[in-house]
Amino acid sequence: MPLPDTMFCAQQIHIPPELPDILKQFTKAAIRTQPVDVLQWSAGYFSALSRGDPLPVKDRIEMPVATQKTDTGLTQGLLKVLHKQCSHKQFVELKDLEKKWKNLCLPVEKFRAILELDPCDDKMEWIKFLALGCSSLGGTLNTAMKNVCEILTADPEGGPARIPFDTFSLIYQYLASLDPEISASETETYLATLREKSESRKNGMIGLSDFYTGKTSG
Amino acid sequence: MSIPFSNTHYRIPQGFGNLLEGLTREILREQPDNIPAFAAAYFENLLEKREKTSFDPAEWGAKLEDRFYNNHAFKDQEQTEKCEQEMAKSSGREETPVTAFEESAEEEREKEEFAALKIQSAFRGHVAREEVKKMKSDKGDQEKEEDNE
Repeated sequence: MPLPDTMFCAQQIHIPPELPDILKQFTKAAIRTQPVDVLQWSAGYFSALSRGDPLPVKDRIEMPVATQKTDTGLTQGLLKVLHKQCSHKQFVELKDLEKKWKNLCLPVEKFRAILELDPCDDKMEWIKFLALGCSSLGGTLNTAMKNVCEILTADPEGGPARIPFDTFSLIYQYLASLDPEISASETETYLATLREKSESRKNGMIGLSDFYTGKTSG
Repeated sequence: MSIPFSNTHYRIPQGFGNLLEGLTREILREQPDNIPAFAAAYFENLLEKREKTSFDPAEWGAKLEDRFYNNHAFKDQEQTEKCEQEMAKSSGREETPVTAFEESAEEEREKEEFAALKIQSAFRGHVAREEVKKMKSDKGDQEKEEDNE
């Protein structure tokens, strides 16, 4: 409905019926995600909304856990957001991924640094990027695998965070192959023991408690 | 608008209110059919503008909010404004008729006050006199009654 030429009172302004809900969801998303650069994030939010893509929104608010040593702005919550946005395709285009990265107010340098770990041209398997991202969150290979499990799992938050063992071994092998300190035979034996465990008890699923025993394990 | 004394865990991002306000205003003004697409274009436009002129509406809004909640910022402003006014008074000719009018208004008020005092005192005197008259007439009545008996 076009607006009348002369405005006499506020009642003449036609408010689209869907507008209040859009604004409300937008605000809730902003509070939950706490973007550093609101403007950049808002642009990403609405371009995703208009295209019907998954929104760049965290499932729940995330407390800032970054320390000065590891502060790159990247968190598990943000990786999870990227996972939601990208996981429907096996391969992601790096240009597209970089745009999504920027819309989450993450520094491009970090993106480049992650890609340098495993250089490739303009496409990348999403699961590989996710693995690299998790490993760059800091800590050992085991903590990286913990992050992977927590992002990929279908279990509710705080649950056992189980994922299929095949996925687990794929990511583990991939990350271990990039680390020169871990030999292939070591990886094989480690995965073999885990496979036995998971197959005997949990019908092919592996959870946090199977391999991750707190901060002391290395 | 973010309120500093609210639960700090659920703070609204800095400058978000300003963005939301701008977006809503533009949507109401343009009445687009596809709101998400319009909003996306709106923010893209703002981003482009920011890259060109380095003016960030969110940052600007955050600054406004900060100034609103940290009152001393306003104190400084008031002082400078006062100074400006005084400067204008002492130098500007345009101000003179206004000040003259103010002065005459003040004189008028003084006069009124004086007149009111006069009227009030006169009325009080009148009331007092009436009372005295009544008392006298009452006494006269009583005396008359006594005479009748």
